[in-house]
Amino acid sequence: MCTESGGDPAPLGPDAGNAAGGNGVEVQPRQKILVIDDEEVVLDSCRAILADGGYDITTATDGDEGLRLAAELSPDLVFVDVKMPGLPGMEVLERLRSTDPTIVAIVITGYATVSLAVEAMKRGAFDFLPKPFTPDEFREMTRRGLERRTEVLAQARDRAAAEAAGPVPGAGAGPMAPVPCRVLGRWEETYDTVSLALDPPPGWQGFRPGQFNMLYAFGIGESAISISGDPADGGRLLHTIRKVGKVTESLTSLQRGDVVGVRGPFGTPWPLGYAAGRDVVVVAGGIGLAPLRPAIHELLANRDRYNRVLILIGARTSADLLYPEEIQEWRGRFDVDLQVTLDSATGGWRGRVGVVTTLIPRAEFDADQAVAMVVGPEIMMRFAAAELLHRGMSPSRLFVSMERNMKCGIGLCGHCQVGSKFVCRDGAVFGYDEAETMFQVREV
Amino acid sequence: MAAQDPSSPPVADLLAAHPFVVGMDESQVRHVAECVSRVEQFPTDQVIFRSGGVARILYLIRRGDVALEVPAPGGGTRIVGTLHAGDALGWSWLFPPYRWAFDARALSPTEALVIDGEKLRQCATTDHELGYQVVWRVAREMADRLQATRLQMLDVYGERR
Repeated sequence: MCTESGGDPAPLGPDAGNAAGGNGVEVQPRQKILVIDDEEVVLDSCRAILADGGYDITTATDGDEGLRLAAELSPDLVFVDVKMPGLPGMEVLERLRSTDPTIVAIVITGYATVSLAVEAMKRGAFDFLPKPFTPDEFREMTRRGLERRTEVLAQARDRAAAEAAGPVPGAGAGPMAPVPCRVLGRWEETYDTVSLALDPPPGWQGFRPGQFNMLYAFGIGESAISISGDPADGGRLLHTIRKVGKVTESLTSLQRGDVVGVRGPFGTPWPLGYAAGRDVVVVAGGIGLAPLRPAIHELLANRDRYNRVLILIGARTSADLLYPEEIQEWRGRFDVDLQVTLDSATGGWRGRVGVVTTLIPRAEFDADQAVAMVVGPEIMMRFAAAELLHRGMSPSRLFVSMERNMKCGIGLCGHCQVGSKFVCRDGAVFGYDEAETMFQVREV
Repeated sequence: MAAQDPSSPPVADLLAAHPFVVGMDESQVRHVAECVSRVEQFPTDQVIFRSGGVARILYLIRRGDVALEVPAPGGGTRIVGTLHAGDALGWSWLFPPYRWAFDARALSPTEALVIDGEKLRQCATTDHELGYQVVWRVAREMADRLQATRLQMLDVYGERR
């Protein structure tokens, strides 16, 4: 480890601690930067480049030391090398973000590839700096990272103030007013599906797995999109969007830095509390994995609260499979039974082929007490429900998420009304005892 | 193809543990056991049978995974379904013209009980009670696969039209 302070204090430090100096002049605390890289020459360069910037610079030569220093120093900005001996950089990044979602992390690597950059963004990196970099590039990245840190801390303060003031739907602007949010990152999940990481709206108080936001593509229109990220990651809002019409076409073509309108979160959550102490069966078909992903994150983060956890995933082809790296990670756990099946495959595929419902008869769970959460096209949900009921599961322990032309999100406009229910307000998560009759009403 | 491991349990015990015979009475299971000719091992990628070949065997998969394949338009193969431990592979031995309709290929090291289909057919003809049990199982399997195939054909995850 190496720590040093360089140059004069930053004249306009973002973390306005307002510590009073002995001469009566307000002195801004120095911003703290941690660089984790196994190459001493890189660490030396970083220190030299920022020496005159007025920062506290600390360096670490491996991931474990980096994490220890991060916990000790609470840095504003962390640079992490992807490829290091010992703990891999991606793992360091994930642990940093899970410990403190407000930490701004930038990944540096000599193995710059698009897929690596995408992976880093998915794991919460703010940006990506390929080696070798020039002093100007490093200074610019530092400036942007610290600027981001300023925003994140301001949002955290807003959130705290909003929490103290009580619930603020739509950030005080009313539930129908979209709040402009910046796109922090964008990556393609499949050929027709994109994930957007958004800067949460001011006053954002998080969401519960199963809830959705109304996303407004300015000048085009609004669409109900489920929240697909980890509920524990308060620093950004993740949405996975499939191109199916004009609005989603426009949303999926947004780029980093663009602005999108956000209203929400709306809708009922998955019954994760009710599922505690029971077997949990998650059945996802196609894009249906997106609204289930927050629930999976929560199940796995609190794994000891549940009995068996089964995740059954169906996709059209291997090219349509969402979140393949994450699926691999989940499958690697010893406490999860995860199965993937494709509707269609070429000769090179080594896994299962068949519709997702064919996984249910052989899945090992106790139907007398298990809870199931199912999302996919309605016909898939109907067949999946039939298999689960055939296994002896009660309809009251089977939950589905419906999607029916939601327009307002608050049960006002009636576009999503099915019988006496408004899907946006009373759902979108419903118990199957309710949903079964709703399924019989055809979509218009 | 490899011979059965001499240390493995008797074929009758292996058969009794397979879901295909669950619900049959002891004498029926014994009759089916008399039709088991061997236990076969198939290494990964071994072709078990080819479409158009004479179908004489019912395979009861004990472990492993098997792909049912057809030649894809434009070359290569398309997997139309996979079968796994506990599944029965092949029913073309039951109905004329006794020809396989698909290729079957082991996706992972696979072990199956090999049942002489012709012999089982004869047993089923002379013992209608056993015949009913066998045909009922095949019919249930066919109904399940037909339903799954319909869903596959619907392309439920495809673009909404």
